[in-house]
Amino acid sequence: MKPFQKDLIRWSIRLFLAGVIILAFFIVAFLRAPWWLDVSEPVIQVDAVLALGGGAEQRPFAAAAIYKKGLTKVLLVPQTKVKTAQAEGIGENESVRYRRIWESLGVPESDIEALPGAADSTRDEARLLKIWLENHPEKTVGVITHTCHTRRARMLFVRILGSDGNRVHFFGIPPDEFREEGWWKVPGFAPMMFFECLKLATQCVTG
Amino acid sequence: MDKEPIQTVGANTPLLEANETPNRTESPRSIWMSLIFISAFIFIFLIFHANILRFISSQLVQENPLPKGKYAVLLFGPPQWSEAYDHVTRILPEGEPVVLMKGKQTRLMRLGLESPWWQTDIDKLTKKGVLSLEFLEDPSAHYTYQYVPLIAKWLDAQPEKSLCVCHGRFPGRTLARTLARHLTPEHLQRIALIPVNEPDFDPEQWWRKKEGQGAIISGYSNLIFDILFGDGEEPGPDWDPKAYEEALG
Repeated sequence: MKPFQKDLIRWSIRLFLAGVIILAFFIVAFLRAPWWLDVSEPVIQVDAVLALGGGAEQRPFAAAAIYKKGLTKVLLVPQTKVKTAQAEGIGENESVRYRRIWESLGVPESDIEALPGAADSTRDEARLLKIWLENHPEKTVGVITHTCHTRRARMLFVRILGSDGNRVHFFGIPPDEFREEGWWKVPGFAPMMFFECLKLATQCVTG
Repeated sequence: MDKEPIQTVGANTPLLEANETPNRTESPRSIWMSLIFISAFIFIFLIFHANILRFISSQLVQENPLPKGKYAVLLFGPPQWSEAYDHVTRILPEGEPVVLMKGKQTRLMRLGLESPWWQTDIDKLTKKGVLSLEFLEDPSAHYTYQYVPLIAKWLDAQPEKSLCVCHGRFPGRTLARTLARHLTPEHLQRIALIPVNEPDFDPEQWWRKKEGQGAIISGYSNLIFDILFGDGEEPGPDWDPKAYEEALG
């Protein structure tokens, strides 16, 4: 065997081993995703609570619980953009839904405040909260979202809010039907975590 | 001083030896780097080529022709948008029923804060002139595979009929795999999968909108899940708002 061929084989083995190690790393990181994606803080007293869009089954309920415990005085709601199906009278706009849930849970309308503008993503919500924080200096906000969404949300909010970022706290809630042992075998969870990891990676690259 | 004889390639020199480069400059590392660069270039070209992107999405779609004999239409998913209702009414034979699903209610439904999704289906289809509705009902059914026994039951009760299953376009392949896992070949022969486009993006140009990209990523990750784990395992308990409130202290 010529030296060149020997080198080629050696390099192929090295690349293969590197590939195996990288793959193993990604698999382990993925299986631990619900924990490292969760950067939520314990719930503390804040001036307002913002329940992020996209989780009407849980997020407004958690916000209402914090309100009822007297840990906040105001609930903030993003005004989500109307989707095509909603415009056709199928389903309901999420902001309307959040308000209705809070009202049904005994939160007076005077304590519900809409963020100034329409939102279609977490990025939009962060931009709108920035305006709200500029109009309410000295106030603190608790952001409610699912635990696996807190890392990406925090990264985005801190980037957009800049120095106001330290006035925002992240309160996480575990998704419905989540179980710690073998979570990836429950339908829907592995795709959800994969999507979240992909979005986080995209956010890290694109900013 | 003796001069070294000049070596020439003569008629007797083997061709391979004549063409051999005595001092090769490319190292394996540079070859691998070239290969990686070329692969990356090809990969980038491929992922941005419209036909390749269409091919990627087409792998998630399962579409069958309409059955020849009698058939009813099942709205599966439920794909709740106008195009789905229009599509159902277009393909529904006169006098045949639309079959709807009733399953596990969400928290908002249980609390009376939202009407069940099948109510929207009933309202929309009735407005479009559908006269006959049937229901596949299991109050505990939540995942796709939990509805499949109800489909089998319906097919057994209507031996002369087929069932057109209208479903979202990109979960199609996963749905087909789930049906194949739980239904007998006789049942499968009487099922036709009819995909319906989603309203927020053009499926032929799904990469242009975030809803389309999301649908493809979701379609593939669900398909991979199905290949690896099939129906999966039992979920954990629902999050409890009351327990959350009490834990706040």
